[in-house]
Amino acid sequence: MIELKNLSKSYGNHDVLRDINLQFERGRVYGIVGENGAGKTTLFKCIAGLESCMGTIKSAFNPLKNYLGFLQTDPYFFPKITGWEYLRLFCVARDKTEVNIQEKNIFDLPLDQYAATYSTGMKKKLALTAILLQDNSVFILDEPFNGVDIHSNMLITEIIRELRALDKIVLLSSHIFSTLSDTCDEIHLLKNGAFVKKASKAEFDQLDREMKDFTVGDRVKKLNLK
Amino acid sequence: MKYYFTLQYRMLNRNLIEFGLPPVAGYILGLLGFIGLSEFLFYKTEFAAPIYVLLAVFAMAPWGAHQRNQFLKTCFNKQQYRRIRWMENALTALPFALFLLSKFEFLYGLGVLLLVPVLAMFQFENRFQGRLPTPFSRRPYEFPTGFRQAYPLFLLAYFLCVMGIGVGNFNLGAFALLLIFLCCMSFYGTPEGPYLVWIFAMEPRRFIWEKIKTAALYSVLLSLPIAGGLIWFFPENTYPVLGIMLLGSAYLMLMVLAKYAAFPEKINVPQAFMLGLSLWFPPMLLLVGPYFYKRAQERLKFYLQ
Repeated sequence: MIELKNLSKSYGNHDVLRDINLQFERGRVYGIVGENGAGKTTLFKCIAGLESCMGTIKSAFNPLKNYLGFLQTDPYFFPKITGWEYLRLFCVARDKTEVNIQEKNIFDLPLDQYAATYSTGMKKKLALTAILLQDNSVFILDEPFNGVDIHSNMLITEIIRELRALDKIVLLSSHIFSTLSDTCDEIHLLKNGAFVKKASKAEFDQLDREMKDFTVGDRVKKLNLK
Repeated sequence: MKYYFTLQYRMLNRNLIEFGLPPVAGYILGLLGFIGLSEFLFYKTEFAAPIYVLLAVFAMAPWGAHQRNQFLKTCFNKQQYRRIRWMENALTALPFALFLLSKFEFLYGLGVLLLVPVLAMFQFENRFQGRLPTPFSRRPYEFPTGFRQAYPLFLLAYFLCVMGIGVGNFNLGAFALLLIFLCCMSFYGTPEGPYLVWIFAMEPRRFIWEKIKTAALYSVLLSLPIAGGLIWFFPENTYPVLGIMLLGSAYLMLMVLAKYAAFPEKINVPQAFMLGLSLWFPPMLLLVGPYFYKRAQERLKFYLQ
């Protein structure tokens, strides 16, 4: 279990997160949605301990970071590191030196090639594979479907379901609502650094409609396209 | 075209400021460093002039990077593009040419100047799509990535060593050995993103130890052929060779510590000064090393605990 209490974060006068209170249970998948700049990535970084913040994060895992796999929106790759070496780095980082990397390459990535030459989707899949190899208990997946082909999309959805079945905690953000409704147990709407709505599975359709109404509204008409 | 060079100038200034130096101080230090290192090279070896020309080529080569040139071609017409390439090469080659002329190496100085228009005609693209194998893959990332980026320098070091042995010049071989350690030190010049430290489930102390262990092991591996060759052909200089290896390893460890003492920022001016001081006066290692180690532990604590 992970519990966030009064989590706040600001850059100077700009409040990025405001008084976040939330609890994450084992065996559940949590979706976090919000516009660009709503604070999703900052929230994830605070939970991971990559950013300092106010408030408390209580967890059954001590320290949480050693049990946490964090898939970043734009994973960074060194210019001359191969896919295999990148995966090996993540294994070494957790003292898992006996992992059969080739066998676990379920996305069929060309591991002998330099990772920096991979396409956006391939990079995402490599970074996801890396944190899966670490046998983490908690997963934060920031935009895991971004730039990924449809087949891998299905595979990632299945991976998330499997993680839930294995009693892991999964936090997920995505700009594609259908991917969230397919995988999440509950979805939280983040707006201007604060959670404004929570929806359980039965309320996903309603949340989707509300978001569409709010986001789209009559904005397209304003373009007066001809 | 004028605006292009103004932008380059601004970018250079921003980099210097980011490094913690006022631009004017940066230029003065750069000039002094350039003259100092050049003097050192000419003092150390009789083959300084050809090596110097080679260094000038290395300095001009990045301007010919394929991707960069494609970008320039989309921004400027053919004539402007040519002029930019000439100007960039000329500005880079000029200090090298002037220094060679000041040493009465007129032929080499002229050679460097002639290389300006010649190199401006070429673009360098790495068409090698394959992976350069290294024996360092089991402990990523600094050595596999660093070696692949700097392998021409390692080849140069081995070549210099062979040349030194061939002409019976121990100093040249010793310089080659030093070059190996300097190259290895350069692998630790830029910090990785905090995420790539955060992924480690280790205490700062163990993290630093693992990094130092890898650096020491692999640098010795890279320097062994040169050290072995020098000891074999110059047995009377065994102790100096071992001394260079020991000192080189110590500086490499200091570099690892300096990197993490500044983490996640780049090594700043006071730290670079301490590093330089240790290079100039080795006993300072005993003071600077523990200081960097303590700072590194503090800096890493946030990301590792």
